[in-house]
Amino acid sequence: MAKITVKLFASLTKFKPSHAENASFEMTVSPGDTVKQLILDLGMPPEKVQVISVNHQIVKSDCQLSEGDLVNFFPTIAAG
Amino acid sequence: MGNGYWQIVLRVNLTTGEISKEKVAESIWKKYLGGSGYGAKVLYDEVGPDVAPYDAENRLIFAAGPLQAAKQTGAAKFTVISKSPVTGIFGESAAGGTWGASFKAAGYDALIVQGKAAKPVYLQINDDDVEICDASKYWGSDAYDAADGILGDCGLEKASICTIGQAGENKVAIACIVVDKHSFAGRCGLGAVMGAKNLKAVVARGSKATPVYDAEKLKGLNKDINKSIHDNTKDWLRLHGTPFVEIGCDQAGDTPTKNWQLGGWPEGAEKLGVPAYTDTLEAKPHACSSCVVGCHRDITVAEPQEYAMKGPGPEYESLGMLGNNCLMDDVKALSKMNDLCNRYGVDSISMGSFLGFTMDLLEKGIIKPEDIGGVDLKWGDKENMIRLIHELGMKKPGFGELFADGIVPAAKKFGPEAEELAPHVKGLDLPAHDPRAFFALAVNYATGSVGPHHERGNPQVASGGFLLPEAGVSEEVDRFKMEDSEYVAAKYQDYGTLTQAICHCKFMFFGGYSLTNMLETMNALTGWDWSMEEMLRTAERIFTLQRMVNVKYGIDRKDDKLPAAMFKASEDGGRAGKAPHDFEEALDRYYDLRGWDNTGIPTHATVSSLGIE
Ligand code: SF4
Repeated sequence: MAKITVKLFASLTKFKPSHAENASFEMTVSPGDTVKQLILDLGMPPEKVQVISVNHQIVKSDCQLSEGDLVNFFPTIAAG
Repeated sequence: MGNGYWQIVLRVNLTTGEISKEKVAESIWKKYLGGSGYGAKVLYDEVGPDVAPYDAENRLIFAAGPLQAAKQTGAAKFTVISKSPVTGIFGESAAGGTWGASFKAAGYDALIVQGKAAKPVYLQINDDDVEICDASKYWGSDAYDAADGILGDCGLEKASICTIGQAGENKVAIACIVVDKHSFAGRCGLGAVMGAKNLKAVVARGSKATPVYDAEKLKGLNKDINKSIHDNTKDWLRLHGTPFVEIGCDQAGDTPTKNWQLGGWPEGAEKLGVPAYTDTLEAKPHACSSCVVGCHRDITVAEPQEYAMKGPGPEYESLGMLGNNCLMDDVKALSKMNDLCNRYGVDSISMGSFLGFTMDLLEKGIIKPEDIGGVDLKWGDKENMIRLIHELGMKKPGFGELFADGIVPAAKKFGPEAEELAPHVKGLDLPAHDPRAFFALAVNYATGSVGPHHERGNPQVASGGFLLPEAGVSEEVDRFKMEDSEYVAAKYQDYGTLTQAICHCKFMFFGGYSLTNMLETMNALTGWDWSMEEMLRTAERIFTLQRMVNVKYGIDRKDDKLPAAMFKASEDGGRAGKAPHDFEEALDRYYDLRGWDNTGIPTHATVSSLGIE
């Protein structure tokens, strides 16, 4: 199993798992799991996830996860 | 023990050369706070409907707020206010850099400039010493060269400077004010008002700490706030700046595309947004003073030679307006255009609007290339876009002269079809967020104090989970809902009004800065012991006063409208088939909520209950 850190932003924070105290939390995934799988595991509607970054690199949802990854999920932010 | 204010306003009359320092009572600050609140008070009291924006009698107010005493993240802002040459009504724009903090540290809350100098001058504020100095040798320089030259002549360490470029000197109505060569009071043409006064620059240096009510409490608040804002923004706003939102806004149908005709342009957005932007332009964060976010970009374009530049990179707004709106997807060429706008000192939002509008008129055959000086400007035509930016910056015959007074006078010259296609409210070009993608923007743009503005009310972010629970917006807002859109618009306008008046950066909101954080900060600064209700009431008072300034200048319901295109749904993109509807009913509800009558004028009862004098 691979331990990763997940951080949810803005409107996605409501999808944090019940064990998490805040929007940044640790999770375990199976090695080779994709971000897409993680989105489904967290119960987030995929169309609500606009930007994904793994270790600060912007990636697509087919990106595979590994031990120690930091995964950020952002909704559409119409700021700026 | 202090209250975050010096209670001193500096007044400079450029006609007579008189410089005075006026005591302004705490009761005035408590009612209007500073920034655009205090500026509205000055316009209301001192600038009548008969004063034209370029008249010597117009006032140009540079106002700090209480937050410059706080040294909190986001406290770098200050606001410039005047009767706008773009709209002829209340105009204001905020900028960052270090000018606001330096000016406040010189011992003043605001500067009122009036009159007109006989020859080009700059103003030097060095603590108590205030001087009007000759700027003749810098007249004709761009905003960056003038900043370097004047600061060199002053020889003041740690001074900050506001300058104008050639556009301001030439009274191009969309001229902006450039701060420390990195931040911009971009909207409403305030640089042209400086130019009309023959004022090339304002230098500020200060060495004083503004006394506050409870410094210890403030220190604790700052520590917590700075940490949480840094944590919440470091992975996006710091890492990529506002270009981070480009692709998402395009997907939502929020970014203007092809002069507001299309519902999206994913292939273009991909090239302009991140990560392409950050990688191609070697973008690095750049922060205003005290800020832990650092949303601005420092970029480098080494080649090709014709686009080579180094300095501030385009923000999302510039990407949207010069990019998507003109179907121009070369991020290096766009950086060059943005750099030219910065140096000439023109608002890149309006510049992109003028160019997209012109491309549209040419394509539709409403105008011919001869009408704009023989330039056959096509969609995405970067070489000619650059050429026309030079022409407007220098107000050259053809395109430069045509658009020198803004989009409305230009459209009028081209006839009713052109007027119908001009994307503006009250003469100010729409910024890069589309009311068809977020319906609450419809009421916000129609009723905003300066005209359409994406930050003096940014209800579009309520759909992304950035909420105002203390003001009654505690749930994510359905972006395609007209019902209650007036309420959401009003509450985000009130939040925007507060940030503009206390002079705080609105982006702190994206790091989780809440109205409660603001209230606690204000109480620690001032000792006013305000309740949330009192603070929100102050926002309403200021917003209503700004409306009264506009009513004095002839504004009412007839002006609270949107371009026809905003009611036409697109066939494609993230808002396909959607457009605001039942707009007049929403406006009725909005006026009701604000306590304005059905012609959009604040009632006597409202004015008196808000304590506006
Ligand atoms: S977030 Fe950006 S605009 Fe706001 S103070 Fe910080 S650097 Fe300046």
